[in-house]
Amino acid sequence: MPFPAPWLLAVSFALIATSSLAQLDDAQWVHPDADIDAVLGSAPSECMALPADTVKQMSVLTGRAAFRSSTLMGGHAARRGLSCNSCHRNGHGNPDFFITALSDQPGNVDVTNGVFSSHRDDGVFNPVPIPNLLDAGDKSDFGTMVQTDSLQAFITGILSEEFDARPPPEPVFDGLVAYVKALRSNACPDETRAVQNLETEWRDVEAFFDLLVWHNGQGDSATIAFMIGALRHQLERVSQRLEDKDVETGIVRLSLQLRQFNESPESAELARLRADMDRLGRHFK
Amino acid sequence: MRFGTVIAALTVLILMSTQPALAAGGGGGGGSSGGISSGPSVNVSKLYEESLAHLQAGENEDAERKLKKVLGAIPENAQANYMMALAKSGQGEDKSSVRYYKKAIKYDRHMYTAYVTLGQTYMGLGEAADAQKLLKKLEKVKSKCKDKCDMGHLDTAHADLTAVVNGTTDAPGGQSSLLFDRIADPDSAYLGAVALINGGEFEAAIIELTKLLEAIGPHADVLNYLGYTHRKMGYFDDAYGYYKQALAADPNHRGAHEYLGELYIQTGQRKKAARQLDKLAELCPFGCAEFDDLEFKFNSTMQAAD
Ligand code: HEC
Repeated sequence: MPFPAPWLLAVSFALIATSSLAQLDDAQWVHPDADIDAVLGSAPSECMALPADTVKQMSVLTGRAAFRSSTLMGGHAARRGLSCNSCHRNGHGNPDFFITALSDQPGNVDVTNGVFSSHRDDGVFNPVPIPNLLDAGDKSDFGTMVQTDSLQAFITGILSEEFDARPPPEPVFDGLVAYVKALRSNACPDETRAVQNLETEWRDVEAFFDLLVWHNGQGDSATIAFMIGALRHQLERVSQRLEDKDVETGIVRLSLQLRQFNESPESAELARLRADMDRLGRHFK
Repeated sequence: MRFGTVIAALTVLILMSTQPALAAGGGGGGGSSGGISSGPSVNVSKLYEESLAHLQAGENEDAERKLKKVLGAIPENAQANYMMALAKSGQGEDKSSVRYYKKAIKYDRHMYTAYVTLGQTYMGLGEAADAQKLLKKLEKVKSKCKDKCDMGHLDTAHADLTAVVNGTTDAPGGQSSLLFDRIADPDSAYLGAVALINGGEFEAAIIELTKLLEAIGPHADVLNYLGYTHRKMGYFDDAYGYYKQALAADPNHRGAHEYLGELYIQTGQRKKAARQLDKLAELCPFGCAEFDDLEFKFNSTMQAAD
């Protein structure tokens, strides 16, 4: 049973012009002593080895989108805007992550707690460091708290038990596994940190849109709906960094059009939505 | 109660502390991480906490001034009504305190302390018959307790009120002992309550959430979860009251709209449920879990009904 908790941060703060990144969902997990703008203004560089084959590539990228979307989660996590990426930033750990009552020090979290899960509460306060996921695909056992011998089983456990999520569509789940496997230490760029700003967030909007178009061609309606949810969530992330209200209006409109597309999909619509998106994109380049 | 030990370890109840427990909001950097969210209800909550501090300092007039504002926003808040009664009686206005005690009991019939103080007030005013009636009322609450009551406190209150009515105890004691406890780390207490709820321990969760409500005032997150726990235990009227308070504290509270919608679905009021869904669509221009889950329940119950 997904178990929800309420919050309102995103909507209320999106409308307020401010230069601080404190209004981002991920600001909720930054240790109070850390400098939010510094922490959320960049992240460790993503080390992703993309396969050459198009279908495999799309699968990895679908997983990449899911990894960044709280729509994958259920219960309290989804309502708080928590995603895999909140803890494993770009596939690494997160030395600044801190949740009152679930962390003993920044970078650690108790994954067997009852806050995010109705299944995994072990009744003990036992935070562990958030691990780097690079090369995790090579391993044969996962986790220290709840151990499993396959990545598939581990991720299934995270989703259904740790975060009370409904099972995602199969292509999304397979993509998530493929994405984690594609995180390789030998695929890291020279720069160890990557900037995170409106421009990079917008690049993900465009990337997620491409994925939506691709999945729309594949025709699996559950996956299409999932991608629309992930894309709208990514638009929200952009809006949380925005200061310009006119652009905000355009972004909200695009999100609402996507919702409409979800209810009555016609491929012709997507071409029009892409044009709208491209027009908005000029503000971020 | 597995998580109970954790709560006990994390939740330190500090009586008479003057430290404001919950940072006054403003997303992030407020000294709390991942705990109670910072919506508009923080303002009412802050006024409430200030009132509690005033009462503790014996500044009854200041407390009354702020409580008026709290009650202006959320008239059905039992805790604020109770504190208003204390502020009144602290200024020697026992007669006008009665009205607020009565409201406190009306909005939360499980606020046992209020029965005792009201009983003492009645006796002080020479209205022994009213005190008798009050005792009957408390006994009725006790007889109807299924699984929800905090029996330890209820029994104590019952014994105290009986003694008051029989004249075997003195007039009202020192005011400070009647005040709510402060909570040092409300975020931890809140997450502890969420964990209890996730574990299906609704009765224990209600006790923890009520303590939070007493300490930090009408906060929409806390009120909403009180609605949820009462609904899960089948107390639909109580649940409705808490959702109403949550939405008075924060009219745009997504969780409260979602759960109120669920309550409407559960009680067969589909049109009203649909209105909550519309409201959530409006509050979530980018989509949200609250909308998705309510829509899912709305659609699945429709299919069941067809
Ligand atoms: C709240 C923070 C948090 C979130 C959100 C989170 N993780 Fe983790 N993850 C952890 C921690 C902590 C561990 C270490 C657990 C242990 O040692 O048992 C971990 C372990 C893992 C591992 C095992 C790594 C290894 O080397 O054994 C994988 C794989 C993983 N997470 C993937 C994911 C995916 C995929 C998601 C999203 C569905 C996710 N995580 C969401 C905190 C998080």
